[in-house]
Amino acid sequence: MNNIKWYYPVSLAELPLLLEKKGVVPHGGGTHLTSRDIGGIEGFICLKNLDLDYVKKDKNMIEIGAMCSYAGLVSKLKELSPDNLLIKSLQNAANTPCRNRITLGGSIGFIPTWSDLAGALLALDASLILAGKVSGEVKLSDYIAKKELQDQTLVCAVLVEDIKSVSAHYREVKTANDMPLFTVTVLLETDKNKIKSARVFVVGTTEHISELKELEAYLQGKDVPALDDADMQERVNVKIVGKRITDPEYMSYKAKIETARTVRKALRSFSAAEEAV
Amino acid sequence: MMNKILNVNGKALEVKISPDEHLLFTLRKSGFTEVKAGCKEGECGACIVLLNGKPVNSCLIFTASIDERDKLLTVKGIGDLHEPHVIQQAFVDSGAVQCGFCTPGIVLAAYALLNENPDPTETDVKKAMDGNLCRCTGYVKIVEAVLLAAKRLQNM
Repeated sequence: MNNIKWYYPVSLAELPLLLEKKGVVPHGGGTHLTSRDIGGIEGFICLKNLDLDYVKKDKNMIEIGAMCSYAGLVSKLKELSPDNLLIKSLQNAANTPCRNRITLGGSIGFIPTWSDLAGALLALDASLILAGKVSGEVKLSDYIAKKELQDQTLVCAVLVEDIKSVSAHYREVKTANDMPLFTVTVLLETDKNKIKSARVFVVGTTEHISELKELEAYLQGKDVPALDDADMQERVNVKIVGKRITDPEYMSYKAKIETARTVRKALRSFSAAEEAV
Repeated sequence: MMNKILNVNGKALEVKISPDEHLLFTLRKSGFTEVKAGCKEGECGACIVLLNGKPVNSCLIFTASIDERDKLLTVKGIGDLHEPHVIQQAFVDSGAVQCGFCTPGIVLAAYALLNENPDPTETDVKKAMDGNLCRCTGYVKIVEAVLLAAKRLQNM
């Protein structure tokens, strides 16, 4: 018989003590935890009583509670911010029953290589509100880079700015609801026919998450008609993780092509919006 | 072991569970064998139940994370052999059931869809079924059945 303990805190004030306990981990939707070996886990902190399932918008800041599911977030954002990049990246992630359980906090806590979330949040320059050993607001990019921010802390909420932008998200999959081999996320700020700024991320690379700074520099200030696919592809230098079922060299080449296409797709959404006006 | 009270199909159910027990197993050992054990990794949808009205894979849920405030619905909670729900009858009439193993999950996915969207397109139906695998039918008759059920529900 296993001796896993369950804790059911009702306030954030209870968290630091629980997070300090050896082998005790937060439990949100549980989709990741239930499908893995939990041999080393001694306890779960059930987060359902902490009122962390919400999405709210104040001026141009969107705050998303960590217990918000992918499906819940997509549905709420469609009302609050219909063109939001997170809708594009999450609405096809996994499948319907999984999207109803996968939480934002859990996805950030684990950041799997197949994440549909990480690229979008990084492109949006998201911040996190943490509780536990480290508390307060930190940049997601810092959280990913610094292990000390992850240990004994809980992601309580995500903050993203509701910026005026055009965006697109691409998932490389074998079947529609498969885990992606890699994802490409593009966020562009545009002014008429010129790209003012660009953020481009590929997730699933040997570095796990790669920001394509060379491509971003190429895109910044560029007139849209002057964009060249070959030039864009040349600036995509990532290695996709080798997997048993695919060819990393081919996938890395495909990432070049799909990145250029995703930039074009983002710009098409901009043209469509302009036409609608 | 832990003692829990669950709310299944509108009735309280007292269960004794181990801390790492999955909801799928708890339901099946409690007699809800209409919840099918398929892949057990969230891919096939055979174990779908509705949790507070949303389809979820019971194989990916620890029972300890569920309590009596959560409303669980299995396919027998919407109708049975003697009093089938409109969706279940539409599946029979459309020939959308072959071996039947995936049917409980698919019917519940359809039930959740039609509660949210009473007039779905074929694309809406396919999207709502993206978490359900069927190895017999080829899906055509399943989609037809859901659209037929939608039509019948609208005319009620």
